[in-house]
Amino acid sequence: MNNIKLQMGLRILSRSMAAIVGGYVLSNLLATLISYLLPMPKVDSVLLSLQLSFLFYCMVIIWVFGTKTAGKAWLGLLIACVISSVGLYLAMPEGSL
Amino acid sequence: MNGTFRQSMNWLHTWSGLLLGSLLYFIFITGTAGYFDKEITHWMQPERPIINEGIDQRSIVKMAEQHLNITAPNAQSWWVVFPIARSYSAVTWWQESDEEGGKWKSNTLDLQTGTPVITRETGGGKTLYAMHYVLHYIPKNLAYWITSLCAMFMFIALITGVIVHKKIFKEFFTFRPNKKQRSWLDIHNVFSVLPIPFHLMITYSGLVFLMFSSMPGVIVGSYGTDKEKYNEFVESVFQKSGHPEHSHEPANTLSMLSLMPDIESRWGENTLYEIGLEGRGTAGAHVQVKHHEYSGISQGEELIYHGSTGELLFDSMKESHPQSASKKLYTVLTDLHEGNFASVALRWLYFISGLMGAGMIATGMMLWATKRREKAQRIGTESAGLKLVEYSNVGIIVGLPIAIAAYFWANRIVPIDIENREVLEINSLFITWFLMLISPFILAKKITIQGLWIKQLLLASALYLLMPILNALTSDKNLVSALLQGDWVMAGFDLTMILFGLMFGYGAQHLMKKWKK
Repeated sequence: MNNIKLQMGLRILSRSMAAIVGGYVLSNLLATLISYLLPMPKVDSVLLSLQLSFLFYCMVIIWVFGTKTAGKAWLGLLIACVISSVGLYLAMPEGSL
Repeated sequence: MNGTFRQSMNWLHTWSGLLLGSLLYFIFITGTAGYFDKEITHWMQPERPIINEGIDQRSIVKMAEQHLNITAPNAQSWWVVFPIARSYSAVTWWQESDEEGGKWKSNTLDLQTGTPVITRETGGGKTLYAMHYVLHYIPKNLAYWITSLCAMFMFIALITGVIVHKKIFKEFFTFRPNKKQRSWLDIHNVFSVLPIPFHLMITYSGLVFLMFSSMPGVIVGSYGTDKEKYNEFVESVFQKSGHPEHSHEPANTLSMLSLMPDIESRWGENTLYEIGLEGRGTAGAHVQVKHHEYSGISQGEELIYHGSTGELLFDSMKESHPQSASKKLYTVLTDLHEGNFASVALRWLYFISGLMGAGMIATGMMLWATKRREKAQRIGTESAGLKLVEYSNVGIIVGLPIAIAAYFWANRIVPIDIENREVLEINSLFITWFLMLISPFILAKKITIQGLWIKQLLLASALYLLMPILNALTSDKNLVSALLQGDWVMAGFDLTMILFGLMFGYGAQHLMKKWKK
C-alpha cells in the first residue's frame, strides 16, 4: 500500500517538475525562436514574443498533464527543446550573441 | 495522467488552485483594494482639507510655487497635482537634489491659506495595493517571481477550469442551496463564469506586467547578458518623445505659472491633472503637463515645454507617432489591468469583478475541503491534510479581511508623531493575519470548526461596522459631516465599511442558524 502511494507521489512529482521546469525552459526557447522569426524590428519582436511566452507555457503545462506517462512527457519535452534549439541556432544571425 | 484528458485536467485544476490558493487570494484582495487606492489614502489622511472647488488652477500653481520656493529651493524637480478627477487634494511633490539624498517628498496644500497641511505618515492605499505584486518583507525581485508563478497557476486553473466544465453555461444557471458540496460548486461557478473575461484579462496582463523579470531568457536570447543592452531594450520599449537630454549645465528656469496662459489657450481652464518642472536649474529643464481626462483607456494628452525658453517641445495631440502592434498590445493589456481610465461606475465594476475573483478562489478552497470531508465521513477516516486545509481556510478567507481592517484601525490608533508609523500600520496587518491563521489550530481542541468560522466572521463584522465610529472619534471627520459637506470619498469609504460589516455579520448569523439545527 505504502509503496504504491510512494510511487504515485513520485510520478506526480516527476510530472509536475516536467511541467513547471521543463515547460519554463521550452516556453523561453519557443518565445526566443519566434522573436527571431517575426518579421518586425527587434524591439517589437522581442516585446511580442515575451507577451506570447505565457501562452506557450500554459499549452506546454496542459500537454504535460495530458500525456499517458511522465516518461512520455519528459521525452516529448526533450525532443521539443532540441528542435527549437536547433531552429534557434539556424535562425540566429552569426555572431549575434 | 490516468483516465481521460478531462479527468487529468480536473486533477490539475484542483491542485494548481489549492497549492497557491492562499497567496492568490491575498493578491486578488489587495489588488482589488487598489482600484480605490486614492480613496483609501484620502480616508487614511483625515487631516486633508476639504476640497474647495472655487479656486482656479492658475492660483493653485502660484500658491504651490511660493510654498516650494520656501520648502524645497534646491530640489531637482517640482510637481503640482491638482484636486481634480481622482486626486482629492492639491499636493506638491519634489525630489531633493542628489547632494541632499535625492528623495521624493510631498505636502498637501490648504488652498484657503496657501500653506501646507501636516498630514499623518501613512502607507495608505498605495502600500496596500503594491503588496499584490511586491508582497512584503522580501526582496522585490523574489516577489516578482513568486507573484508571476501564482499568476501562472491562476491562468492554468482558469483554462483547465473552462475545459473541466463542459456544460459551462448550463451550470452557470444552476444553484442548489443547502446541499453542501453542490452549493459550494454552484457558487464557485457563478463567481468564475460570469466574470471569466475579467479573470483571464487580469491574470494574463498581470503576467505581462512582470514579464521583464519572469521571462529573462527571451531578452537574453536576443540581446545577450550585457546589462547595458538589456537597459537599451527596456528604454526603447518605454521610449518617450519630446524630453530634452539630461544636463548638469546650470541654466535659469522659468516658473510654471508663466506657462499657464499658453496651456489654457490650448486646453481651456482647469483641465490639468498635474504640472511638473524636471531638471530645475539645468539646461535640460523641461515642464511636463498632463490633462486630467484619459483618451480611451490610455494616458490623456500631454504637453512638454522647454524649461528655460518656454518653447513647446511636444504636443501629444499633434504628434501621432504610430505605435507598433506589439507595443500597442502591451499598452492595452497593462492599461486594462490598471484601469486608471475607469470612471466611477466602471471602477466599481472593476472592484466587484476583483472581489468575485477572490470569491472564486475562496469557494474553490472551500469546495476542496467539503468534498474530502464528505468522503472522509463515508469511509470514517480523515487525513491530516484535510484538517490542515479546513483550519487554515478560516484564517485565510476571513482572517485576511480582518487583517486589512486592522491596517485601517492602526491608521487611527498609532500615535501621529511616532517615527516610522507607516511601518507599524503594515506590521499590524501582518501580525493580525498571522494570529488569525494560527489561532484556529491553537483553539482546535476547545472550539469546533463551525465555532471558529462564526468567531472570525463576528470579529470581522465588528471591526468593519465600528470603523465609521472609530473615524468619528479619532479625527475631525465623520460620516454625517462628510455627507453634509459632499465629501463623497470619505463618506463612501465609511459606507463601504458598513456594507462589509453587514455582509460578515450576515455570514455569521447564517452559519449560526444553520449549525444550530
